[in-house]
Amino acid sequence: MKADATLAQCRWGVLLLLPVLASWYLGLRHVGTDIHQGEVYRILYLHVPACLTAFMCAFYLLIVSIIGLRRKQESSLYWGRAIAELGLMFTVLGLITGSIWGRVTWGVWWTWDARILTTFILGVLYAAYLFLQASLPQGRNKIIASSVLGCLIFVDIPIIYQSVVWWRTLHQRSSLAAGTMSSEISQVLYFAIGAMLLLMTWMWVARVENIRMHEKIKTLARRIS
Amino acid sequence: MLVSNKATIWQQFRLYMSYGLKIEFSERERLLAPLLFAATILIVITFCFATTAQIEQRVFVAEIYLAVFLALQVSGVRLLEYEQRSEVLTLLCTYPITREVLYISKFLLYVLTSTMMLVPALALAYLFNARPLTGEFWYMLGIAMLVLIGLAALGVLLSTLIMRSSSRHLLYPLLYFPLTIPLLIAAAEVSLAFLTHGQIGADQRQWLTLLLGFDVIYLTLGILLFGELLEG
Repeated sequence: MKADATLAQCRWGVLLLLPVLASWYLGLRHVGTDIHQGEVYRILYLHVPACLTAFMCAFYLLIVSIIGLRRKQESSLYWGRAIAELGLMFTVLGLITGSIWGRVTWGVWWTWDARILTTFILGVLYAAYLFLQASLPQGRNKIIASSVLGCLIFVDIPIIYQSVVWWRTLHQRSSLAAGTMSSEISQVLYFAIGAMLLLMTWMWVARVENIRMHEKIKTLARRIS
Repeated sequence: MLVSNKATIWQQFRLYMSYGLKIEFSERERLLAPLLFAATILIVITFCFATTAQIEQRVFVAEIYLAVFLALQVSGVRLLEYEQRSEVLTLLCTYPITREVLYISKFLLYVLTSTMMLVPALALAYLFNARPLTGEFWYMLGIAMLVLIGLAALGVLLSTLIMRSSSRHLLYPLLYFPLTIPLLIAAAEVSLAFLTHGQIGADQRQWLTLLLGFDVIYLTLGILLFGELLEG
């Protein structure tokens, strides 16, 4: 990758970070306080986008896996690994922010609630995907095995989404989908979700470039040694 | 093992099944290890919770599915070990056997051998908990069989997925645990409702649907993806 291309990528990164920061600013300063939860509800502007981005990562991983199964190209491994890393990162972020929110509203850091458990499972599956890729030797089998697991991971998403309907949970049902949220809050939340998704997409592309470069260096180092 | 080019699906299926059964019965511990494992879990849990009558049904259900789940994990991790060691899978790929037949044969073999573990394990659970072996036993066996079908479909797929991995003994539980949770939770809910009310009510039907849904999902994914994994 040339230096100017790297610089352009960094510029894009900064540019896409701005809407995320703006959404936090709006969430913290512009939107009013919730009458039931007080100020603590403002963590919503980080928690909900992080969780939805983690779910979106599973969808992207599914697409990458289907392409991997069809074309069997090594590049699908890079795209898959990058999105699994991001998926894991956003899942952990969602769980941490949820835990902080839960401590204030439910009085506990962690509870065996269906939504939390299924989201935790998603994190374990992302970690397993990365572990599988690391443990397999390079080749066709690695591409196929990773792609199959990528498809399996997506099975967890409908369960997470429906968990608050199927089980009697502490976690509330989606106020956004039900339309019970005030328009002021929901508009900023939609903006925060969009901004986070854009940032994730940039991070994905940047990470793939990074992995590609790392693989090239590894190959060169092998040749030299 | 020879397969002619004109072998029907049924002949291919019968051939691989009979071969698989020979492997399963060639080593005694292949069947005994999961059964003993299940029995150990049943003994420990029954011993620990026997006196707490108010949670008896919940513990009973938990111990059954925990025993089934862990025993199948023990056998699942080495499901394709023999084939891989003797390079049978590589050979099979050169024969005119469809991958779907291979998957379904392996799946049915796994279901069959796991049933041989499940029936005595469930009977032991009834015995240890002083429950009579009446009609309820057969209903519970039916629900447990639905779990077993899902676990077996997933087990065959996962063991194929990780068979070339250097750390498969670590990877198998890592993948198996999270993916089996929906099956186990659904089965536990249906079983609890059945033990409490003697029937499965309208509320619990969605759990049964979920259980059946996951059986179908894992079986379909297995049939679709097994061939890809094998050829990789």
